[in-house]
Amino acid sequence: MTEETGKSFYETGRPGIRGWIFSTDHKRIGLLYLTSMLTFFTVGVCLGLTMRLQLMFPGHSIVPAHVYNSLYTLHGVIMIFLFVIPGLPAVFGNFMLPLMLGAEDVAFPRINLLSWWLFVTGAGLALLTIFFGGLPDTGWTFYAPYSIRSGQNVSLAVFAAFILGFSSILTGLNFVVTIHRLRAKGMGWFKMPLFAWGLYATGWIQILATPVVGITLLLILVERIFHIGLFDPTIGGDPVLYQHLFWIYSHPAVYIMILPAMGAISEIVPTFSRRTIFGYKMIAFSSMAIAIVGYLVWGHHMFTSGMSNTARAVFSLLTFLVAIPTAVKVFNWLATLYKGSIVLQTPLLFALSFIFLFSIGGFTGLIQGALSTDIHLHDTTFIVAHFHYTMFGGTGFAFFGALHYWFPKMFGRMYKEKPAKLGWLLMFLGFNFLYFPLFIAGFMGQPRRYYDYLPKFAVPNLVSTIGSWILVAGLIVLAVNLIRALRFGEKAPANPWKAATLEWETSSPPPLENFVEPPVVTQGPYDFVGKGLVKG
Amino acid sequence: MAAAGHPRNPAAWLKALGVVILLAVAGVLVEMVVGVNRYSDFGAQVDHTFWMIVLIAALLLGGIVVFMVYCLVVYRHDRVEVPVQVEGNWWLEFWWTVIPVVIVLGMFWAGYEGFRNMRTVPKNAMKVKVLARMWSWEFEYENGVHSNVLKVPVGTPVRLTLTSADVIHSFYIPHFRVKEDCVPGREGYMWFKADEVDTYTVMCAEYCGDGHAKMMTNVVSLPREAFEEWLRSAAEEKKAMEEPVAEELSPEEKERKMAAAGEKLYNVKGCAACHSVDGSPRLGPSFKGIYGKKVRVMTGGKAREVLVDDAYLTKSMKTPTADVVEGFQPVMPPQNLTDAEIEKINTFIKSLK
Repeated sequence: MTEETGKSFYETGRPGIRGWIFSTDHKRIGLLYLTSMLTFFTVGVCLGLTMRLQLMFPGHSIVPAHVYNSLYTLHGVIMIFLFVIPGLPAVFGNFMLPLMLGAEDVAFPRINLLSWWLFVTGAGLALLTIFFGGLPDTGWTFYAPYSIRSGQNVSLAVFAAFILGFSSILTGLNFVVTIHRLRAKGMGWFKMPLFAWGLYATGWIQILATPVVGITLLLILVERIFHIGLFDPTIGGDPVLYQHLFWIYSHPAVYIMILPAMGAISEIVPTFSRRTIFGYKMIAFSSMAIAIVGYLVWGHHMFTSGMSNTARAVFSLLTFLVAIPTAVKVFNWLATLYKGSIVLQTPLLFALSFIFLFSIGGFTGLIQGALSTDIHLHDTTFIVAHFHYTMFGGTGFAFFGALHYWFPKMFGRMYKEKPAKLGWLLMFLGFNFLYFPLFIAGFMGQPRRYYDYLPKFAVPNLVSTIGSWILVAGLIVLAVNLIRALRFGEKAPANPWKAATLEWETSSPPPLENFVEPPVVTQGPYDFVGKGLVKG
Repeated sequence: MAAAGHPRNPAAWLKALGVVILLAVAGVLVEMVVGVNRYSDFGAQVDHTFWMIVLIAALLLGGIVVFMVYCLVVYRHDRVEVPVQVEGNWWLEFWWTVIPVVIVLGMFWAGYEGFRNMRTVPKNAMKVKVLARMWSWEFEYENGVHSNVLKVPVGTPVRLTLTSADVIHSFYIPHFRVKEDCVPGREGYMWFKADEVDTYTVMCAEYCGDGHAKMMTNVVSLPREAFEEWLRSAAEEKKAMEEPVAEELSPEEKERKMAAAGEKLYNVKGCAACHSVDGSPRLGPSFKGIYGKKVRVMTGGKAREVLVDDAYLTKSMKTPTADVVEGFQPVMPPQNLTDAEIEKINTFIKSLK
């Protein structure tokens, strides 16, 4: 199974753009997602930069309030629906899952292509709001009754989110069936790589939770178009009902965002420690535990919204419980470093900074899970900092770690190590300068979604804006390094990191059918000794 | 393996408990350095919980980082050629599941305790109704006095009943560590006790549109007597305001009284949030000198010119988005005002030459 046995998937299939946008090959679909998502990510970053520029000094506006409101709404919608939710599953799940399972493709290749088309259609509809009726200004949460009264084109944006939901459901369904049905001969459930476990847990959340938000968004449309009182109290609705329905999906959705990221970390840490993962089963089960308990904690977004005091206490307690499986994962990753033979390359730097940043996100989550402290911090920039630590410090760093880990496999080229490390360093420093001050401003009482703020919050906001420049400098270094590698990088061997999972047993990039001969699995996914990758 | 660890079980429990207690004590110490919140009744309690969790988190995070760096140094590839393949350890898994459970239950309890105090209103609390609207606050006292600043007597518990006239807002006093949403069609509640004579910022914490960031007012805590005095005079002023303007007054005098009443309404009803009286544009056009002028407005997407008179002003309060002055966003919500109130406000606007 080396390069000479077959052409790579790039060299087979229909030529030209049609060979890509109508391809049912999971690898091509993965790359389609990668290209479209990185485009959206770039737009989201630019919006974020503009927001930080606006907030650099108090009292000096570069954009008026209504523009700022659309900026942060678009930033949120793009980053959440078009980058973080599809995130790792759509790119690395699509590309790697069949390879890791030793399969030829996902279970339903055509549905897979449909998912991407739905994704692009939803994204296109969201962008249409620029030209028709004005950008939405409600925040990505579309809270009623504001979203019902807003004169902006909320209907189109909501419908776009509805379409995107279907893309997500179909991807989840596809992965769950693939994992059940298409594992290689000999690959029992506990011989599956942990990234596949992460995708499995994610798939179930996508299937079970996403329809709820689909229904909720449709109800907003029904209310806006037919004036049926569902959420607007002036016509007999209840705005708090909307919040419940919204968070019943959107809280599990944060686990859709993080579980595949945790899966990627579980691949990177053992590979670069040159030893088997510590507590395989605990990591696998904790993914499932997070997926299950994650359904029951949505109310912690609503501690000040007027729920009964009992409901608030119950949701607070359940929220603390979801911290446990997360802590278990962190401890197991750390224990995997113990007595290893650690090679500190770029993917591991991203993985370790993931553990650090995600821990800060998790710990500050405890502060918000506790009732009395959350009452103070709710809807302040403390929350903004918290979810950027989990979503960007967590999923974002895992995404870039995964990109650097699987880049040789996907493109058949090696990137340069030194610029990648420099890019990581700038990104890591910039990230902390950007978001940590927001914890302080939030504790001081600066509410979020403010286009201007009181002078007493000036210092943390200035530091934060400067941090955003450092972060973007890091992103540029990383991007230039990877784009350069696409053309000029050294040819990648089949297994540059000496990893033990199946995707590294085929050539880089893989042939169209993935494996020349269907693999038969006899060892565990991290059995470096059994595969002769390290001395035992 | 299970049997070997069993005798240590109770000791480890005690140890874990000891650690938690130690951390709680350390939390208090941190707080002494950072400073205790003395502004309100539960400020100190909230901060105490906050710093306790921060401290436990900092210690755990420190542990994580130290262990990570230790491994990176000691087990780096050029030092260790042959790694040890450790598959796991069920006792470790057990302990690092159980100890975090104990820790987070402690945190839950601390948060719940503070919360219970926040939600248990003392029986003798003074009652004030809060009406939030885009983008101002209106406070109504039990004797019917309306104000756009929340004046309270120091050291007295105050119970707020919260609701909204339009979309969801959130009443937030950062110094007092309290917040609760104002939901249209519902009544929420919260309470606080200001412990020092001072002025504290109130902010809206739930996004509510273009004026969200400017939807602020103050809690002003006054000595008991000063508060009583203010409440009494405000009640008298209100009474005088409500009396019909005496017929026998000269037209100028009548107009002056109406304008004064209009100015009061301009402040209380929240007009001031978006319309200045000094010529500077805010979210809406300034009222200064606008009466009797011709302005360009957008009517259903088409520009036209209208004269600002009583009829136009009245229409602009009842259906604000019908004719929007050019250069401004159609964001003003319809105002729930009586005809008498509108007349007074119109007279006030007219007086701003």
